[in-house]
Amino acid sequence: MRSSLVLMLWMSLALPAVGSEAAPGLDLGRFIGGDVETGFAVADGPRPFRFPEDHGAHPDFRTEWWYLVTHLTDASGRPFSAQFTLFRQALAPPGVDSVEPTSRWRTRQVWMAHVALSGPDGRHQASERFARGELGLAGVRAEPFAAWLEDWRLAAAPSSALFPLALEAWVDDVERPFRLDLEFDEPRGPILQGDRGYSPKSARDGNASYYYSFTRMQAYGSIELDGRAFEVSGLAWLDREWSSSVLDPGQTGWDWFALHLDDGRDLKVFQIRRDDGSIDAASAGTLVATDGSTTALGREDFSLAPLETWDDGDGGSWPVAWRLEVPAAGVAGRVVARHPDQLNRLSVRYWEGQVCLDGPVAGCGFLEMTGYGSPTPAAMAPQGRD
Amino acid sequence: MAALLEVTGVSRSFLQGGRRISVLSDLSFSLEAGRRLTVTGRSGSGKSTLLNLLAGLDRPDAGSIRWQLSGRAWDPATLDERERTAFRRRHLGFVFQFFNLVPTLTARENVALMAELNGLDDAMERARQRLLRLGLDDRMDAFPETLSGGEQQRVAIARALVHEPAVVLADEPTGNLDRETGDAVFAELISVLAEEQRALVLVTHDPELALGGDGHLALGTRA
Amino acid sequence: MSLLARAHLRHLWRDRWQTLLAVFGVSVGVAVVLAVDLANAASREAMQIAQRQLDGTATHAIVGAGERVEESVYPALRLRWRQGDPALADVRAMAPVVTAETRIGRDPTTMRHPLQWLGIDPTADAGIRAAVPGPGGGQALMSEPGTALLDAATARSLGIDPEAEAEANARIWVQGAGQPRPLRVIGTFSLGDTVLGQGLLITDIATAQEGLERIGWLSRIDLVRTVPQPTRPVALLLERFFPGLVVRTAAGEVEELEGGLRVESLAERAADTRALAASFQLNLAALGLLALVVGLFLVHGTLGHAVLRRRRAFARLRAIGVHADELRRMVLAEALVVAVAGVLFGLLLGRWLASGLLALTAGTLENLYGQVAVAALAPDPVPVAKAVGVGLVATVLAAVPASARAAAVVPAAAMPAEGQGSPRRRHPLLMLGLLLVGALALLPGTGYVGGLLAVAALLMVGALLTPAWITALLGALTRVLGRAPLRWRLLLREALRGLARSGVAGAALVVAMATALGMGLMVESFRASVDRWLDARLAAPLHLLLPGEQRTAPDDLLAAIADRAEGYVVRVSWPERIRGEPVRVNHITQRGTVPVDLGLALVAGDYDERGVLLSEPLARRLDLGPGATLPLPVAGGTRELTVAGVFREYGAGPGLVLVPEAAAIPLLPGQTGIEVHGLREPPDAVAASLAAAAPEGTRVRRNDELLELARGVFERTFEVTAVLNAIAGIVAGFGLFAALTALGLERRAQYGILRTLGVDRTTPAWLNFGEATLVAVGAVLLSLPLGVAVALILIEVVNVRAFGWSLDVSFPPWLFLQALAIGLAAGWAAALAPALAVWRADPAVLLTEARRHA
Repeated sequence: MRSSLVLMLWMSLALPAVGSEAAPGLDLGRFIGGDVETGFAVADGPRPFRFPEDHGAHPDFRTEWWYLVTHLTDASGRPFSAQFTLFRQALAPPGVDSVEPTSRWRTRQVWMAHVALSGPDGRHQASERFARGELGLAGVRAEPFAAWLEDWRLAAAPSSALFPLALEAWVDDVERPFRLDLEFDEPRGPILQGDRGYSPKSARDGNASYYYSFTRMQAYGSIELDGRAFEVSGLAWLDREWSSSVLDPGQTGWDWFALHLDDGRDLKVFQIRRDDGSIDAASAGTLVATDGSTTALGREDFSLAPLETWDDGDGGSWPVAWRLEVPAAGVAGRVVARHPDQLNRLSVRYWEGQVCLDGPVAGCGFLEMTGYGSPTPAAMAPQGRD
Repeated sequence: MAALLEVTGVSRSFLQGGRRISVLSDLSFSLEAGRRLTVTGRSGSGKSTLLNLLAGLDRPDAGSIRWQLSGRAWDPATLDERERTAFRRRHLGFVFQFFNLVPTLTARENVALMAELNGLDDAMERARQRLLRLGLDDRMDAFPETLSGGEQQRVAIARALVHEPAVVLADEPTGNLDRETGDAVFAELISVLAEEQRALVLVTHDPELALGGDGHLALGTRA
Repeated sequence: MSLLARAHLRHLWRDRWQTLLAVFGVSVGVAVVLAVDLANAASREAMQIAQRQLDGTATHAIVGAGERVEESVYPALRLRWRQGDPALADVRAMAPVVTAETRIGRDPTTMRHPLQWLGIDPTADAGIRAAVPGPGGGQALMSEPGTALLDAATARSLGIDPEAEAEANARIWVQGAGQPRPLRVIGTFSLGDTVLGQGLLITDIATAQEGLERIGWLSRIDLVRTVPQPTRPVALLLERFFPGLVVRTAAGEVEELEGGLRVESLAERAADTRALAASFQLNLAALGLLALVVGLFLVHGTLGHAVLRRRRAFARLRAIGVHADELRRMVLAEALVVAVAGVLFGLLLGRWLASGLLALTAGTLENLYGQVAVAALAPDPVPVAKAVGVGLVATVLAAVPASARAAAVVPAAAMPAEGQGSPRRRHPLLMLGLLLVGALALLPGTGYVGGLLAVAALLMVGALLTPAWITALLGALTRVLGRAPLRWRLLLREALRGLARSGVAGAALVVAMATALGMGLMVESFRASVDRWLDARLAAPLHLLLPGEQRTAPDDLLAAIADRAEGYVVRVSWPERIRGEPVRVNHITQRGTVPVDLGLALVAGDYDERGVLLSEPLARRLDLGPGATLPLPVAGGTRELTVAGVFREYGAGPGLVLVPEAAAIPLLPGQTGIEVHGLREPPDAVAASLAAAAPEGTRVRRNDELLELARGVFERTFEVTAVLNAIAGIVAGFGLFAALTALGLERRAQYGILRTLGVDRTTPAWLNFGEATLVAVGAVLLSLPLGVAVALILIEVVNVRAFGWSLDVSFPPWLFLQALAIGLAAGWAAALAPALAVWRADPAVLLTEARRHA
């Protein structure tokens, strides 16, 4: 589902240009509401996954990401949560290359990375970068695994193929610079989401993705903040997804929960909100058992209701406390943000932060929300010039 | 003896503020050679107009002006601009109320100017003679602005006579001089004219000057 | 209004033609000052807008030898920056740029519109340049080769409707590395209200590298640094007030990185660009002021004479109790009325004049400096305020002598005769002082402004000297013509008497003529020097310019040349900066028989294979002579090279550094030209066969064609100065006309008497003509030595100090004859109307005025 986020990001980046008359003749129509006859590869049914190749990039698909969230504590129990995401966006389908001597800058791939950190005092900071996928500025290598944009890097530790994974990111363009130096380990293999890793998003052909995750990685390492180093450990969740699908213009935003339950299970649910106030039928979830086996959850298998909202000061009102019930998993409780302000104030505004669940089955994890800000990317998207 | 000047039925009127003002109306008179005609009248009675007509500076609306000079007849109105200028230069002498000497020429040069214009030899010498005669021996090389009014008018008289015209037109020659000087200058003018047998048309509103003429024309009294 | 004021205003009205002429003088002066300033401001504004568009928020740039940076430097540098390299600690953003000045058109044969081609990486450039779309919006630029964004004004001038046709992907052609390159316009952006003479084309960096054949190279890497950039509102305001002034913040702020890379301040680079045109703009402004000064002579003359004519009235006013100060104030008030009217009309006239001037200056700036110039005026209050202030103050100041004279009138019930005043007032102390100022201004260290100041002082002395000089001249003539016919004596005396009025006009004529002659002599010397220089410089009968950029010419082409000619010289040239000075490095390879010294006119040192040769302006700017060491940036570092000689160069662009092959510096790709000497076949035959052997896009030119081109550029360069000179001359001519008209009017009574006495109508007209001739001849005779002195200062001081050009003095006699002819023509033209009026006048009417005379 996060492909939508990526698309919205690109669109919103185009928007200042539209507003400032510097509008390039940007063909947004190809991205929103268009059909799939674009020349991109499409996810049209289950396929065999091959590792390590599939850890790498799939450049013939339009969109792809490596999305890692982790929540950690230090020795004295101080909580941290962090995010590292690398997005890949293909600007054009694979095609005939220019016959001229080609510049090394010529590329179809643009990369974007987000890094965010919430410290014990509840202060949330985020940073973003862009790069084209040439001259070694950004990219992903399957084996030994490495995903990077400049010096932000998620890569297999030396002499390993994938795990342990190491994340290095130094962020100094924020008020309080910080450094993430973390490692992740996962004894289980990848969890294939949806139907053997094929994840349909609507009834339309090709409106689907290939999707696998590592839902319960052990995380440990150090976080440097305000010049102090904290030794931390905790859990992490890595999503890998690629697709060429497009966003339905009627969708205004979504609420996406990824929770590590205390009993060892992992729960992912999301709902898509439509502009008429209804919940999209594509809303769904997955319950991962301790042994890695999965149970798909449909639209009717869970319920979500906002309880409290937080005002971001710019006219946006974000639900930071929810009532979540998943009868099949025995989940029934409040999901509350650890800090209300975990808003990524980047080129596009979205809320990505740590939450905890109470009730019969407790746990902590991540909540991602879009479409509550003002102006929201979803509200702006239909106004984009075509 | 034929008349030097024969004026017959001359009329002249001007447009002023959209109204036609008749200045001279059916004026006739004649002047014999060597005689003096005195013209008197109020301001605006046509004295200057008459002088202009006689000098060929203006043309009458009706009537004729006939000069008999150097054995032929001249009607300034029938001459073109060039001929009229030559006529004035050769045959007329002028004396003005304000002397009107050329300020950048000396007394002698002012006089010599007329001789030179008429192509006479020894212009400067002729001028000297004229000025000597009028008693200006020591003022010959002075510029007009350093001369007194009487001296200036004497220079003007010398200028009017140096080329030996048959007639002198004098326009209030004493009007800008005090009585004593005026009388003296006028006496000299009359004496030279009489000696050389030249005619004079004298325009004045001074009743004393008007007395001595051979003829008298009073303008401004409607017939 | 007081009755006194009313009396004065009525006088202005009664003398309305004279008043109008004074107003005209102020107007033209103010108009030229304003027009020059507006044109300069427009050029400067255009440069600044262009600079802002080009630089965006970038404050510095990393540049390398030859204004090139190898592209692999960029990712490495970016990584170092991200990892906190202390050398890059204050960098907030970093973006690669590939850029070139080029031309654009709708089809490959008409690529004329000048344009900056800017290749950027949207993923790195977001937030630096407003016109550059972010990575999202830039995706079409990045993903589709040959796509471009074009500024809306350029698009419109190419017939592309930014609203409509851009969507239809209009095709344009851009000159890239000597070849026409098709591009597709997928969008437009606005550069604001000002229409730039130079457009801006934005493409992805890959498209730019491919189209400009810059594969593997960047032009520079832009940096946004947090170093506080001095905001300089005062400095910028000063620059707008004083043309030619370039305010710099810090001298030569250059940091060296390793590998021959440097960090340069973009503000300093912009100041360098401004400085290039500054001396040209100062010269224009000086000419503008000249027009104003000449115009002020009209004011001075008119008001001065108006006071003279009213001396009797003033004396009576004084007698009935009017204070001297009241008369002084009233004369100054009259001047203020003239000033206000003149300034108001001048502003309108100036605005109109400015557009004409703009085209001329734009042409010169482009020809000489290859700089952006504008096609439209920017509304700028500063030049307007300056013109208003200068016009008002100068006019009132010009009236100060007249007001003093009015105040000095002695109260009396009557005055003897109407005084004409003495034209022989001399100002020996003032003249001496001016000469001293002029001499001091010529001392070393005063720069070219000192030279211009000396010229101004000299002209003022000439103006002050004029009445006395013409008086002396007429006196001498009077003595010589002592026995001449009276009319000659009359003429001389009338002319002398009229000097009270015509003297000031003569002074204006002297200033205008001396300036025109001085400029003319300077231009002629310049032309002769340039001709000699061009003849030597373009001695080779054939010149080849290869398309694109390379390190050397193709071997097969060189072989073809060797077959058909005795020798050749290959020049590979690239841009560089030495101590902040923009230069072009010319790498010279010579084979076979070529002229000794390569036809360079050396002014110092000798041609030496192992040393470098500097162009004269560059040598002066860098203060380097033969034997000195030149630090030349080369790929990978800096080479210390010995200066062997200095050669003449009249290009106004960057200085030249000639590096012979023997100096063995690493070559960079550059523009490649070949001079072919000693043809063994007729030039056209050789040209044809070389054109066939050369790469496509090679331009083969015969030297006579190049000479013609170069001379055309030269002529266009001096069009502006000629126009401004002509304006000053016309104003002076009007001054003379005014004086003669006034004199004609004053002499009507006298002419009336003369006509009555039988003087024919040509004589007064002849007197008028003769007087004009005498004044004009007197003015010209004085302006000849003065013009020579002005020319010598311009040649020996101003040109050397402003441009670094040394010129051979060459004063062709025909110029002096021409000056005489122009002076006489001006005098006669000015005398024509008044003489005709006198010729036409009815003697009876004139006589009436004489009768009324009191």
